[in-house]
Amino acid sequence: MGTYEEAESRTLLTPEGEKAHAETRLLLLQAQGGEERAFEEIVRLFSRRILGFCHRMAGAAQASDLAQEVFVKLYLALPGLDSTRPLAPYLFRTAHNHCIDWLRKRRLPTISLDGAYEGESPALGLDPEDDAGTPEDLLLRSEVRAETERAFAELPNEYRSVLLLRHMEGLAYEEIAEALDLPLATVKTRIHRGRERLKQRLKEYVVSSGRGQ
Amino acid sequence: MTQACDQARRAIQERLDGAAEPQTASWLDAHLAECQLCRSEQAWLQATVKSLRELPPPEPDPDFVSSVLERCRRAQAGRERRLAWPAGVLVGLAATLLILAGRAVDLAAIGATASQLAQAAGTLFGPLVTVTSGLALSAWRALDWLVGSASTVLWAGISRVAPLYGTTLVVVVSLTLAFAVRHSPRLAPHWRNP
Repeated sequence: MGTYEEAESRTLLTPEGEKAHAETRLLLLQAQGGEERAFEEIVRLFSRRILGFCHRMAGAAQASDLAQEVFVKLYLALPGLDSTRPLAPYLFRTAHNHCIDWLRKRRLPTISLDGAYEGESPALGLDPEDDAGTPEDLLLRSEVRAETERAFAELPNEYRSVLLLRHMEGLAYEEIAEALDLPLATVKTRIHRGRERLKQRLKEYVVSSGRGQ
Repeated sequence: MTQACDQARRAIQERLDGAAEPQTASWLDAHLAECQLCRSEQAWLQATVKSLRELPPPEPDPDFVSSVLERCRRAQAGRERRLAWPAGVLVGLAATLLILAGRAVDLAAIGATASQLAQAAGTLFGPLVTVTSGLALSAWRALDWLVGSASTVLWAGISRVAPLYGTTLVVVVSLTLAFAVRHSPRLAPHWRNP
């Protein structure tokens, strides 16, 4: 099982990203021409990423179903798709809209963290050079990792989606803006705020549970 | 926290995304060298990002791809069924217009008076007649052999000009529309290598 570590190379703004885009474009053209194997390859190429996105956006139970629907939508839209445009933003936009629709329809309770972590708590001045270890050492411990998962799931949707695309999928600001149909400035703001909330939450958890002492 | 720290927090965020200008980055490094709070802030943000990336992505089920392909086939069939209905109605309307236009031509050919032609026009555009004929002829598309025969009889009864000409047109229009729906470029492709 891999991690999201390799995500940085996925952005189109890198040579690797350009190459991947050219390959995807060829597959897309073949699929548009009726080659089922090409479509199958596209599904295979993007399945983990789209599944991962749906998993973090809508929960594990629905992720597979939602991700499959994303590819069905891609199939039905094949004739009208512009093969010169990168496919990843299109797929993530579809996945995002699909997950948000699903969450809205079911009116699932999402835990808002609004105002919960405003200001500095007395324990926030934790020094990374303390004996307890650097923040990285602290956050990568397995028990804290579970808290990371929880904290991320509890972020509001608008922060979760941009952080997913930025840090787990490695998309650049511009690509996220295109994928979510948002202004660039909004994307930046949401990434910064989302990251800040998550950091505060994890920091408080580490400090309150005594792991940072 | 000073104003410089505020500025540094924004710069830290930008640098995390590789979006900080070189000048800003140099300024930030100088600030971090002096400010322990901001150093801590940067370390925590970097660790947060790293912990996010360390979360294990889920693995797709082994049958994920085949399930997608199966769903695609079902979705395509459903879409074709949905599009067949409007196509049937269009064929019905086209057939109605053809038959009623034939009636008008027929009346004109025998030197019908203006009032007779007006009456025919009323029939032509009477909504009830149009809708009824349209629905009836939509069904005809599904049972084209039956309706084709009925249409021939109907046409022969009301037209002295070219009774088979209209029927042929109706059949051609029906087949063309059915073909167009089946092979519409707006529909997803039919795989060549199933």
